[in-house]
Amino acid sequence: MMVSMTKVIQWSAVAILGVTACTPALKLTPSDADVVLARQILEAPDPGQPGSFGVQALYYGSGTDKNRPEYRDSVAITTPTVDVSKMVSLGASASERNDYWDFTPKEMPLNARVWYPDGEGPFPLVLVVHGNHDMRDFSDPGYDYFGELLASRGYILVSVDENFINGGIRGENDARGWFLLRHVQLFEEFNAEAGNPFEGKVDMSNIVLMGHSRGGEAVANAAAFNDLTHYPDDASLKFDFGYDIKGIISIAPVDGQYLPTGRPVVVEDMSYLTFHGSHDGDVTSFHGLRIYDRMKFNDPDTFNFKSAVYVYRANHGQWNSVWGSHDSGPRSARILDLRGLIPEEDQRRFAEIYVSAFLEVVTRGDKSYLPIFRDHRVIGEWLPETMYITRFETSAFRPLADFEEDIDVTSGSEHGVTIAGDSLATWKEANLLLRSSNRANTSASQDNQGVTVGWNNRMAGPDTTAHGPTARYTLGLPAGLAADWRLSAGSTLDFMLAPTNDVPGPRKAPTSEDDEEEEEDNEDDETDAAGRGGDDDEEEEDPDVDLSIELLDSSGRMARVTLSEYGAVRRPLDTYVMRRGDREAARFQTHWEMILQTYSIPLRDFLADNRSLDVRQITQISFVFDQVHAGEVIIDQVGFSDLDPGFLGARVEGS
Amino acid sequence: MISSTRTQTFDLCCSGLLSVLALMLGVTATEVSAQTAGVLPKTTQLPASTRAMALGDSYIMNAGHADALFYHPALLAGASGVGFEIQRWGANSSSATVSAAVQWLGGGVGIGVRTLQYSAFGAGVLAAPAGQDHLFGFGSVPVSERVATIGYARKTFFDIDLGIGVDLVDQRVDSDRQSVVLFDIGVARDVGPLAIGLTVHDLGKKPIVDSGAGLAKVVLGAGGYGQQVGIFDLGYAANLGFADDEVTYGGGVEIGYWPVQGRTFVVRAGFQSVPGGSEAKPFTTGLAFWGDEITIEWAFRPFKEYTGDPESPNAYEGGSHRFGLRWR
Repeated sequence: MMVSMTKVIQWSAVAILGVTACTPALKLTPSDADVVLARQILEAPDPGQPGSFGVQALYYGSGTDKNRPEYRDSVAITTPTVDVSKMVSLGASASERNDYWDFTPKEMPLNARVWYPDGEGPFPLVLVVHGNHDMRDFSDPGYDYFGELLASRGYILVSVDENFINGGIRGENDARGWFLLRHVQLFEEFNAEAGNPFEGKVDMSNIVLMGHSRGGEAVANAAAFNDLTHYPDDASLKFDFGYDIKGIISIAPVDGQYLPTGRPVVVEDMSYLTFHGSHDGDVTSFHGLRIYDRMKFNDPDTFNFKSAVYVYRANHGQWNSVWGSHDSGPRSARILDLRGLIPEEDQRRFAEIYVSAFLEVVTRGDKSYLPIFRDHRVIGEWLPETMYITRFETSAFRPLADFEEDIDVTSGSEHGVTIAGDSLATWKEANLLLRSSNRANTSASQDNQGVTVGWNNRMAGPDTTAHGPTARYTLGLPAGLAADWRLSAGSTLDFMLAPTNDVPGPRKAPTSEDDEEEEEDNEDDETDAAGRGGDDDEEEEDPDVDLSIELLDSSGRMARVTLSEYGAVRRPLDTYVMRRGDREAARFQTHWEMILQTYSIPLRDFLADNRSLDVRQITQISFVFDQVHAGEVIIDQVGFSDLDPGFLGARVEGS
Repeated sequence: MISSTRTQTFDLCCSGLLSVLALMLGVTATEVSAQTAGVLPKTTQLPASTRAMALGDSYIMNAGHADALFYHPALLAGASGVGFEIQRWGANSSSATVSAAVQWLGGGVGIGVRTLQYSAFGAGVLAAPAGQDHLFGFGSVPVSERVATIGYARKTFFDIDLGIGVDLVDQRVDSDRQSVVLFDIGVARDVGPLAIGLTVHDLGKKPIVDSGAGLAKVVLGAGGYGQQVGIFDLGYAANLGFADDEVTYGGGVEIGYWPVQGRTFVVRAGFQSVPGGSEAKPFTTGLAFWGDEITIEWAFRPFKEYTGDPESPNAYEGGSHRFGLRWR
């Protein structure tokens, strides 16, 4: 008996060793949520909580659906079919697909499930559309959580059925967008039709389109089609939409699958929200950033804004309650490392908060929720505990340097703006990349230029306390620009920034001619570094990145703030989605996504540092690398905003 | 990284093709002796694929491997990779198979070599009795065969793949030697989840001792792999063969499980007809591991129990084992 037990123990040990050897360690960036999300500053009601309306639901559609009883037996409103054959080609699978659905692209249905408030209305209209998925695993029920929440808060939420163009077909993303507009058209008819359940209940002046995955690109297509009179790829198809779309929301979107006339779709003059999970095992890069960057605000006096949120440890499928954690199909757990995912309830809780807040702002003009788009730290108690990278921009933003205009690293985007670097180890402008292209025929580019700036204030040599002049990167403003732009204490200095994982080596030994000058600078550094720069023993190998932002006016008055007071300054977040490291390395260029975060610093804060600073005479903006001795950051979209005061309605102390 | 892997695979295929071509040249360059009393080419009747052997010598029709060349040359359309396999019946009998395929010339090109060595209990009909039982014995007459095969297939109308294989057969029975050329020709097509193929084997002047011209063998095969059944992937294959007055059949299933992407473990079981008088068992089995680029396989067909006398013609050693190694 003893021998048997010994053998059992031995074999168990072998088995445990084997399992352990086959299970690599989970690699995640340690969370700083306990610090970053430690506060709840915003006092408005939680937008992720149900509202006061009772919720009703119905289906509308063809009434003839072969596979789904709800669209066959339970439709409250029968809708016509539409011909999308100019946009949808089923290819080799046409026969099989037509057999399954019992209709062809010439007669596709307008089906949807609707959650709506039990009230008189009119209510803002919100459409949500799923993305690509197994066409037999119906996706449209998966936004029930939005339906229940938003209907209770006074919105009509329409989850549009496009399952019949899911599956293995390509080039259909224009149709996905067009379908949305046709459903909006239906609601225009419902609203005007006597006896219709939606008669008089639809606020057609307040429409928001929301899409997930391919649907996330489709909402941009729809927004673009909404302003067109003809289908760009075949002008024989005429458009007649022109609806009052106030905003679009892209959840983990693809981008570039539909390129009308060979160019990416540009959306103009509406608000935009996009969010994406770092551990997305399907759309493996934040392609919504490209839609975000292309979004144009043509009128600075009309309030619009755009916001992008990167949610660490969120995936692709958990935004849809049907899809769940299986980003790579039912056997995802054998392909993807799912251990790092946040719970799906948490992931959807984030979506509820941000979508609901966006809708409150965009459709109801409730600007009390604007602060969460500027700095998510103001809702620390509401947000699930993970890390977030946020960026935002408003129609009131005026760029000084977006690094898109030319190859001259010393010139800014605004006429007369100059750029200079001092004691920098790295200074280069380049196109930013995503970690993956997602598909072979789509780009891995962020389609966005930024400047990379690196520094190491230490001098090479045995004396590790020897520092050179503090590195800085400076934008020079032409005389009169600050006054022309009417900068004031209420204006904000905005820019996007993210540290990289690179740390330049120490500087080369100075020439004898420079020695005297540098010694003086070293003394200054010790003061400027607030005690962090001078003590090597307390510094880590790759210290956390921080820096100062300095303004200088034409009279030489200077004011300075510390970046980390305006948001977390993190190196790229470790992202490993595959179970096998070799596959991860083969598929992804890096194990992180380079997401720049927006920092928005009120000029009032600079005045708090130096009351004598004249913001109408600002002549220099400097990124001063005085907080840590070495590091590298990417900077983009440097400019000023005459920010809506609502954004500053709640601020983390010091921000 | 991906392109690098593909390049390596392509290089591997090319080097495999070159190796096999060199062997073929060795075969064809050999001086052909005067026609002697020949023996039936044994090699073309033996398993040529470890996977197929484990499935009752039925080829998984959508495998996409180079060894399709030996079963259904039409399946070369879409086949790729390099494979090396050996099989052993007893201490004195073994065979080896090398095959390679690439997509080329608008279709698939495959080349392969099969060798067989054993000892017979005599020349003439004794050199090649039916079945595999005699391969377990120790005879006094050394017999060897080398068959070099080249095949080509391409997709034609109605998605039908058409393929042809040419066998250059070199035989030696003791001091007698002869070379012949045989042809395989067939068609294949996907039908739903299945692929079905019909192939006529060994067309040509096939010398048979004391019985005149031999007949070709017609084989109808069907099979497929990849059907998901719960956590497993299911494969299946079956064949029905007609030759002379004999009808042969076989079939099998394989169950694959991959705990991690690119690491698949496969269990196989099959059955096949037993020639009259043979001590072979009707069942076959096998195991396999499929990695990203490499596949390791084993197949086994049991025969009569070991007699304990290695000199006995009935010393079956329990059965015949086959091992395969393949690069995709």
